[in-house]
Amino acid sequence: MLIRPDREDLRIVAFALGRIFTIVAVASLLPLAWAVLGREWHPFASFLLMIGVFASLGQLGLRYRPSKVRLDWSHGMVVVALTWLAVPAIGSIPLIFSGHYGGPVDAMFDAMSGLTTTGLALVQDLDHIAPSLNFWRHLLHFLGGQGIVIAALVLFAGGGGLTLYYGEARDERILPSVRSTARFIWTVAFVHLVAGVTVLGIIAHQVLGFEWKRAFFHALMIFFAAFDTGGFAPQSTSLGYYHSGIFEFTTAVLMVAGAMSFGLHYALWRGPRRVLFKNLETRTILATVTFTMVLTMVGLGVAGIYTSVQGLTRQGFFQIISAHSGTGFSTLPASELAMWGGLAFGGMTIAMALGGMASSTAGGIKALRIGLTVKAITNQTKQLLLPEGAIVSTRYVQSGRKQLTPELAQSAMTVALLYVALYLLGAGVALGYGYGFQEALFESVSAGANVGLSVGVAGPSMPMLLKLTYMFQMWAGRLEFVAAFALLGFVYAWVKGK
Amino acid sequence: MRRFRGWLGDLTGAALAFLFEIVIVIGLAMFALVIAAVVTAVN
Repeated sequence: MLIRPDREDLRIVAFALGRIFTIVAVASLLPLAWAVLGREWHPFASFLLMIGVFASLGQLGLRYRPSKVRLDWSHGMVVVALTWLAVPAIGSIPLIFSGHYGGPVDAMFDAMSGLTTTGLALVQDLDHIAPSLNFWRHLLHFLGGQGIVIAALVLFAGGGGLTLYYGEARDERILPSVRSTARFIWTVAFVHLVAGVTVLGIIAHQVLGFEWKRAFFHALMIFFAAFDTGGFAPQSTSLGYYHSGIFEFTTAVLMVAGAMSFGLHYALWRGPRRVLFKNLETRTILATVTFTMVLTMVGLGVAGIYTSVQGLTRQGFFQIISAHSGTGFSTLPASELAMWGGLAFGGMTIAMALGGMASSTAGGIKALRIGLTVKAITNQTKQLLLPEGAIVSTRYVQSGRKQLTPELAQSAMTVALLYVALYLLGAGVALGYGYGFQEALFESVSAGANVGLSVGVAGPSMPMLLKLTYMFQMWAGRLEFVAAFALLGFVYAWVKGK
Repeated sequence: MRRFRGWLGDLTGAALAFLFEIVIVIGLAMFALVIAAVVTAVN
């Protein structure tokens, strides 16, 4: 029998949401300050409205203090799922009033794309959007990538942090307490922020000839989108705007850093470092990057799109790193990427579908699940081939030595299958609207794996149902299904429960 | 003193992390260059 959530359950959820909305309201003061400094009064008014909504809802939620603040698993998952729906909805207010979107759905599409670190965009005339609005779009990447709920964990010690942490699709707790883990994640982000923005800013000024203010604006935007594997760019031509090898290289370093798990960052920062290359996930991602890079570049070579070694290296390398890390930056226009048929298309789509490492800012199936699935299949095969009674090792290295249990293997395979289903869902809807198979699959994988590369399907003129489907894919893909299912279950129990 | 050593350790760790990231990207770029050279030569 389904038990209907009672008033206390709703109070727990409302109170936790109140805390998170308050944090987002405070974070939203940054674009407001940017608008004041730039004397952009129209965006200023819309930011003020958005902050007012966040703060009011935050205060409203905080009024419903429950008798116990500690969240259990279902509360935590519901809070996370609702946060990731409500923040893009309210966060789209400044975009709606900007005049750069076809309507509220387009604006929410971009806000959802920003928060889920996808990078698909429906913005029109991006090159003339107010800098404060551009900053807000990129700040959404940072809030989503680092985890707005994790930010709340750092600031509020309240109970139930673990469920919120796992709800936001973080698979491993690096330090004994969730709060110290969250603090470490933000420390890594801020160290990369300082280093990344400094290097990119200097390159933009010295090499590209940008004036200092403009150089650091672009550096900050690109950092947010690269380290959080987002993919928005301040200009409509993405990374192609800069036409600079050194700028692309530095961005690639940040994309790789963003796609690395925070567990790996911890191992690099504080040791033990000797297990780095024994780590199952590190080995898996190196193998899949190598495989997809070979596939893509051989495909490009066969197709004869790039005839020089330099051109082939630069385009193939950058696009594969961007796809596999789940970033979605491109140095090519969508129309040129759409010409990458055959093996190159296959390599790029597989790279996007697989994604980065678990507990990183990247989306997709994740290297850990691929590694566990391959190891489980290999072990089964070995068991069949070896003499009866032979023992096959089921141990693997991932933040220490661990045991691959049948339950763990099953869980990894189930989530991988759910991702495949999610990719097919978007592709099916696009096929129904008459798009070709290749472009339908590419764009759907890009949305579901939170990548953001586009071959031209995602645009203001695409059908409404397809916009909504991609938004659902971005949301479900980012939460890795668990929190999304928990919310559906919560609503179902509320309606049908007793 | 312990806190200072902690900071120093983190700073060294962060520098190593950046080095690791740069080495990985250079390695992949070199690999891409080799594939591109082979593919172009075969074509």
